[in-house]
Amino acid sequence: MSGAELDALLVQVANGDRHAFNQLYDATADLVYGIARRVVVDRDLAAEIAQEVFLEVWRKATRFEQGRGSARTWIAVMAKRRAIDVVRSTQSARDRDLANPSALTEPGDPVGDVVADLDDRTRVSAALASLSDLQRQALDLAFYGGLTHREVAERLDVPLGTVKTRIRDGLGRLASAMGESDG
Amino acid sequence: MDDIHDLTALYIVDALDDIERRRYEGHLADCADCQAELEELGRGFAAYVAASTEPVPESVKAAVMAGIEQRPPARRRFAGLAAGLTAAAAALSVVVAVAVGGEPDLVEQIYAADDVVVLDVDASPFANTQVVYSREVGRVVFVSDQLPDPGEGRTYQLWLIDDDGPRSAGTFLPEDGTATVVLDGTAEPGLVVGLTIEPSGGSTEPTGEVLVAQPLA
Repeated sequence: MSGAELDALLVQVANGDRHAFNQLYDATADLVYGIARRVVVDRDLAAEIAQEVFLEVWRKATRFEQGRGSARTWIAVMAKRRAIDVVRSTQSARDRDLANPSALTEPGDPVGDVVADLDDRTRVSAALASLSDLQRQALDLAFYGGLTHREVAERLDVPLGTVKTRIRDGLGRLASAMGESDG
Repeated sequence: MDDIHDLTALYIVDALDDIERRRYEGHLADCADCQAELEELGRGFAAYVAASTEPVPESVKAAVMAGIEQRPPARRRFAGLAAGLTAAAAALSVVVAVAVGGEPDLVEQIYAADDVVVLDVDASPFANTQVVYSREVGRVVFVSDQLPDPGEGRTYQLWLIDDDGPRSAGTFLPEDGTATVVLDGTAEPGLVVGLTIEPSGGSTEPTGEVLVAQPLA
């Protein structure tokens, strides 16, 4: 499903449209669950988080503003935050990350089990392969690690500007690799 | 760091603090360049997260759809919400209870505890393995999803190791490589969580190679 279609669905959901919500769920549930799994590992907890996230999507859909990014990003960030909340007792999660940074950059199967079709899967795989290790690391710490850019910079002991550049260039490279056709 | 135009990528990956985020959102509404960059980099981000995509268990959808049935539509937010939340919480307990059989609430309690500590076990081939504990709850959970089959007539056995040596903390067999096991025994700092493969039924002390030795920091 294209980014624009998802955006439109989320707007319908904000109006209380359960049919639209059903479609939105089908289009994004594997993404939400996958993000949760990446953060908490345990399948049952990830399923629980996915469930909470979709109830939150339903409840907060009215707050989605199209000018502030895509529905996909909005939902992905919600999933990540909820999962981070689960593992974080403020300090302990940071300790965990500090103790084992490699765990954050280690995605198991780099493409996941399902991306909609082979073509998409190939493109995602190729796009990710285009990232440098440093870009990947900065992205992973920021997103799946739930760190702010300041915390990422401290973690890696590099200047703030370096973190910013790695993340921006990383996303830019992924965008180019995915081409112009969808979002 | 103060050029607000440079914050688009950090905004997308949710790496801004609250103040920066609000500031950026305020700026975004009036900045066509940032809006264009947001769209472009957002497509990159979609690819980035797509790599984590994984089939969601089918049970989740039914629970979600039941959850929204019990709530008012999104725009109307009033007392009915509380009832909806309670129902959702009840549904969640069921998920966890099914997961760990005899000990319905412990896993959930441990993860929900204020002092929960999540330790990634860094021992090949045990990627995606965590030891999670809470002193408040007093228990430890071992979680993994990449456990090899221990072999015919054999079982995994967990140990809690202190100065007096190892005590058995229970045996288990993974399902499809996955296990979420609450250890027998109390979570105390200084203990080491061990994992070995033993003959079925378990051993009184470890006889197999120690596959994991994770201190409770």
